[in-house]
Amino acid sequence: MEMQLGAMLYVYKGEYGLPSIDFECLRALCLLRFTRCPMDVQTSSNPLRSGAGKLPYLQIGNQKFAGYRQIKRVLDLEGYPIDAHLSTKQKHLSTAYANWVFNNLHAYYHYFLFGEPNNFDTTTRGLYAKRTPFPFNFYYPSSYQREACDVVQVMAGFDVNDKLDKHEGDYLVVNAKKVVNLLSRKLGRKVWFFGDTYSEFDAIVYSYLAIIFKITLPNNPLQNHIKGCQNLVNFINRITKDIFRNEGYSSVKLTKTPSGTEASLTASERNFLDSDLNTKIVAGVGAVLAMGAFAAWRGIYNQLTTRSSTDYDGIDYEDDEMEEGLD
Amino acid sequence: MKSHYLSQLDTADKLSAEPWPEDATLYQPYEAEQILLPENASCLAVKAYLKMCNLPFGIRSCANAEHMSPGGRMTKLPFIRAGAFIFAEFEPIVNFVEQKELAIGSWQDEDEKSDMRTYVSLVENIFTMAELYISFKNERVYKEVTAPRNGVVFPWPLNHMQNYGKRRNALRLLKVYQWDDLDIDSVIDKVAKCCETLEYKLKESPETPFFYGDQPCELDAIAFGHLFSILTTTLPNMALAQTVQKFKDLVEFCRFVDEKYFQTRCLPN
Repeated sequence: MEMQLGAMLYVYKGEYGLPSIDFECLRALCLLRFTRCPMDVQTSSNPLRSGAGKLPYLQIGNQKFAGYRQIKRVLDLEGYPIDAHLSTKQKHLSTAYANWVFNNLHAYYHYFLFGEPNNFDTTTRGLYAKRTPFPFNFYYPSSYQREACDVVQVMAGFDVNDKLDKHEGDYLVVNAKKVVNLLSRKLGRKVWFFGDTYSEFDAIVYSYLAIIFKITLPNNPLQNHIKGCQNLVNFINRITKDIFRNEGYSSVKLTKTPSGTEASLTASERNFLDSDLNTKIVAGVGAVLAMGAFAAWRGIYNQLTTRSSTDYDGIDYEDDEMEEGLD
Repeated sequence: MKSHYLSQLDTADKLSAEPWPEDATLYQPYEAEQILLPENASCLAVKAYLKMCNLPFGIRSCANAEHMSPGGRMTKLPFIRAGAFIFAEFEPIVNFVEQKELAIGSWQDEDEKSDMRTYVSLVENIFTMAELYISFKNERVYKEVTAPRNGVVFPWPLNHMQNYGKRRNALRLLKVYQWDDLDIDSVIDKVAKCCETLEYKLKESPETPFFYGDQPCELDAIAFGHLFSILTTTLPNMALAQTVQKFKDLVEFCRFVDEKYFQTRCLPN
């Protein structure tokens, strides 16, 4: 098939153990991995090349498909439709619920990731800027902020550029909590929302909640609420660990908590401790070689050999001392 | 400062003990000269809902209804004044009525209710966006219908400024809901899919007239509002109406609800 030869999906690299930091990218990745579509994923890319100024985009040969909707259409046509295993009723419900989740969480997501000035400046801008090559990293994060401005204006009815105390975030939080409660009740003890098979609804719920749950923002009221719904937490962790085993990325290993000794280390030392065994061996061999080379250059080997043969013999010393004694 | 939406929720709570006010009034633009397709659909949906609940209300048409509205997510219309309180758009009005325990659909269990709510939001979303798309993105419809109708109540040059502002808002709405880069075929496709969902839902209980059995619920009101408006509004581009007409059961459903609650009988055979 043409698709398996040269198809490549370009997304933002992940963080916090997630495969991507961006909602649309995560959604596209879900489509790919849920349906087990054999396609490569490239995590270092330039939004400029997508043609839409945004990731994700899918490249097959010279053709580019930017945005979730187009990617979904390509996958549908190529024989990887996400809702294929559902019954007719479930298919209809999946679309309806996906749309409902979008209606209720889209504004929350955009406001707390991009609209809230403190959150954006301390965390989100950096996340996006690090994943965009210079000099575009000065431009693209702000383009997301402008988009969020529109989303919040339309879906929540206030202006992000207003003073902070005019932001009506409370409504978004109350609404989002209601949605999370309903999702938790609807999921129950099931593996997927519709029992044994995945759906687009699962993909969209995972994409919103995983980011909101994992990201560390100064102000993110929904995070603790999700923590309270154990089945949703399990749902997020299971998909992250099982399905995105290879794509999950985190710049800091979350399993190690910095203890007393580690806290005193410098950044490069901590990096070294976190690196793989292979790297450590290579580094060790390299260090030994370097030191050996340095030693050779300073002529230490020569000194060692000459010293052992003639100059510093025990006898010579004794002779010297005896001569001194006689004087 | 307290959020406008939150205070709406709170007042709805406080009001729940009081009876339905006698002088409840629904505000909307002038139907014959001014109203646009998306606004007409949402007004009709609210009217159908209140009639299904059997609640008395008056209708007042004013030119500046949109500017009096406290705001909403999509069309901001219609809004209802009940006692001292004002609610705009379908969902807040439905929530308000439900707080008073006068609402239809209280016989549904939790699961059925949440399913029904998602269908309501799907229908509202897809149809409103499709109506906005055809009204503001289709050049011919915009020039021949939308712009003259929207500007009719304003003197020159204010009408051009109003049209410009309205179109900008509509395009922004389409952009946020990710409809701005669609072509007309994908819009038709989305509408057809939504109609399929509705028809499937209707056929689940073939011998009963409504979506959920013998009694009407919110889904009936909103589906009727949008489908009936699309079917009965004449535009230079009738693509939406032609799509809906392919679903005979839905047309039949509209005819039935019209007969039962409105008796306008303007649906073509």
